[in-house]
Amino acid sequence: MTSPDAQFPTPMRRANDRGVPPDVPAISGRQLTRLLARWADARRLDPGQAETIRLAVRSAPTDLGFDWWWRLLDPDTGSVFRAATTRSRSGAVVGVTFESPFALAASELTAWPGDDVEYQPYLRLA
Amino acid sequence: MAWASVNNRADDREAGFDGLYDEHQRTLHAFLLGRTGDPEVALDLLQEAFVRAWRNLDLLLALAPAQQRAWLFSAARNLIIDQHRGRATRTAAQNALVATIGPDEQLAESPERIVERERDLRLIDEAIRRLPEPLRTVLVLQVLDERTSAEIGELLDRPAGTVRYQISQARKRLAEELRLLEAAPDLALQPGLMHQEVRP
Repeated sequence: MTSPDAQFPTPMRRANDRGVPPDVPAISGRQLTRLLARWADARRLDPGQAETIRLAVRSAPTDLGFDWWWRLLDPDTGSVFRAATTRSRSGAVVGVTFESPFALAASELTAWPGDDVEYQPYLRLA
Repeated sequence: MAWASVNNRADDREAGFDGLYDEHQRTLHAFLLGRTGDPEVALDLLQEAFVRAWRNLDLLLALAPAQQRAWLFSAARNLIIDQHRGRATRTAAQNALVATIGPDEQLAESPERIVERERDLRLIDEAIRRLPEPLRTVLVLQVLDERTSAEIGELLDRPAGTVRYQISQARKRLAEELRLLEAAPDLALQPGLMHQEVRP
């Protein structure tokens, strides 16, 4: 009979199993909090980065152009028709999400999608 | 007269976008960093998510705030899936962001200190990246966006108690990974190993 510890080894035991020399000190909760705070200060979006992204986004064209629509609606290879084929081959497809320029009804956006849904077959139109 | 009307509409559009951006950029960035574990990819995806918002702004501005957030996070999730499928990640925006670090900022510290700080950051990046995704996301939302367990739970549709447990697990695992990396820092800093999946 194996002990619960053997089944779910503690972080320290896992670290030792992976070849950490015993003289490498463990990291205390306080040290970890300090390290994470420093990391967050460095990785948090700073005002300069936020402004750069804001300006880049606002300069993005809003008109997607003829090519985009053609990739969507081309009768032979258009994404819309590929989607229909995929759906009929794989049966019911749950939680397919795709970005579309078509207006979505507000009621369709009320449900918060669970994590599982995002790994369902996904249709990319862009 | 017609010109003025067009200009007003453009101003309204930009003001509407700014409101949306200011409200959500920080949380969305933390979410993307938590999900991807990669600071550069997270910035790229953040920009891409807001480009989608910009293109669908009329629709978005007609929604209630909770629905706007749902829409943005949905777009972000789709982008993460795209990114997992090997889409190119580095864009011109990345280069622009790198360029925002001015030379004065770079010279303020000694080269040794900069190298050391960068090394520490990369070790923590790597340790965070090695966490299982559900633990990583809650931890980053807590640390980077300073969200409470209840808020994270609402955002990710998980009970607050689960979030608290996951944060505590994430911290334990992170301390372990940092200890491992401290013992063999070169492993973490080799480019090939930075993106290798490590399983206990």
